[in-house]
Amino acid sequence: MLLDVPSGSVFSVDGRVYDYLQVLLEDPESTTEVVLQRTGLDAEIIHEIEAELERLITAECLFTEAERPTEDASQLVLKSLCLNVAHECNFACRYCFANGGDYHGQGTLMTHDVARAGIDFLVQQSSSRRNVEVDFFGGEPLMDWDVVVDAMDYARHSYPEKEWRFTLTTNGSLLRDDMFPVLEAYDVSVVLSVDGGRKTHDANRVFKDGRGTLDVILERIRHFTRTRDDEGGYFVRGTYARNTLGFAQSVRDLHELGFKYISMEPVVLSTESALALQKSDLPAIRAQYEELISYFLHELRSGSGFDFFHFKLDLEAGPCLSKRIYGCGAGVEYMAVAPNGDIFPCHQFDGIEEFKMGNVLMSPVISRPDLVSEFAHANFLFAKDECSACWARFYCSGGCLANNYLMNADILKPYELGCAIQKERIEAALVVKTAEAPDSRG
Amino acid sequence: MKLINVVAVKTIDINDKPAKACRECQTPCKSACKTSCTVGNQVCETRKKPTRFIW
Repeated sequence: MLLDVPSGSVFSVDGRVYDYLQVLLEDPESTTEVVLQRTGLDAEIIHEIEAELERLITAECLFTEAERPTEDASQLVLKSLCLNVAHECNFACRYCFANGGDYHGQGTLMTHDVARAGIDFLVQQSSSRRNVEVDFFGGEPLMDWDVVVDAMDYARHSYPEKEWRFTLTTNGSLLRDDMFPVLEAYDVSVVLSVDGGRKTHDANRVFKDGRGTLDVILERIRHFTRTRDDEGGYFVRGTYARNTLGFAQSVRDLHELGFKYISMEPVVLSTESALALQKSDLPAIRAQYEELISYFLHELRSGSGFDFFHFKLDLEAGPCLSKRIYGCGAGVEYMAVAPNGDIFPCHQFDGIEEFKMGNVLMSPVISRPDLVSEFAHANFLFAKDECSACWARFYCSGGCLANNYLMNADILKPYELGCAIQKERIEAALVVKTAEAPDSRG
Repeated sequence: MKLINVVAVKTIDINDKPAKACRECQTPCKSACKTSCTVGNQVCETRKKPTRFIW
């Protein structure tokens, strides 16, 4: 596989082309004799390879050169808000970044007033943006269901000029049948946390008394997802940690449980945690992605295909370059609101006092405009030296600032292991795209 | 003999300028506790209607 990073052109190449390019990329000054000697190819094949490469270079889709984009945060306005409606959870998952849902504070739920003030703040800040997003998160957001429903109703009725998009992340344990039509009416995309089969899921996703949770959630979740199997609108999302590294099998288990939309994420914990992924796990993680690719393509070709979130790369209609260089927008295009109204750059910064940007009940709402500026700069892909030279930069857009802070105490310093896994994942997605592409194209 | 197969070409406009961007598309959250979306998982909504699921 060959990727031209600036233009995003992707090619699958014959092994001989790969060998040829390896020699040239190692030493661009290599003579024909050196190439012949090192690749073992004959002169006729090398002539053919060079002719094909020349055709692609002339068409400006290989070895393209582009000016480095300049930083321009003037277009960034708030358009996405995480309403962290519950600093409470009925689970005590062993890898939870939020300390079992309470974010190292007292368990609290958001009130209607705070949620509505959050909606007002989002609309005021979103300027002329038509599409605005609200994500209901926690803790367990279904513990504050009335506020979730009220916030969506308030948003739609108070600001009909906006296109509202709602998302909710839940452990599924409190999901009830009467919620389904409401989720449908507000077109809520739902993320359901399930880590895999029983052994894997119950290893880390437990109640506060240590009991596994799969038995409680599985039928509730399946009941809900069956209503959306045709049109989508849900993802069953798992987390793999050091004690559940076999995530290819977990994805297979989730698929065999009947789920059609699946996502699987690496846990992010400080390296001292027993469940944290380590650099030494990378070969095993790579092997898991290879296994997952094989299973994914096998199921696809046998008519039992499913959606795996990270393989959903759209090479034909992806975002523009401007979007790709400004990432997730944490702290400027995206913010999180805690139950008491405090604003943080994203949900992962919730409760970290030095990152408190303001409060939706105060005037002015933003008390730390300096933090907004700092995050606007940190979101710029080329503000991070490591990202500037990374081949995956236009797919990743610069990593997670919260992970950078957790691992390096510096939002501008990428989390190295996270980057390595991200690159494995993007490469896997490109491999899938390459395998799906008909040979006759081009 | 075909030695190089094209999967996709010029999927990124290298001449794009930030001032032209509408920025109406979804905001990707890379957090693992959601679905760790990246811009690579997104679509340009002026070119293609997004699927129901969003970030």
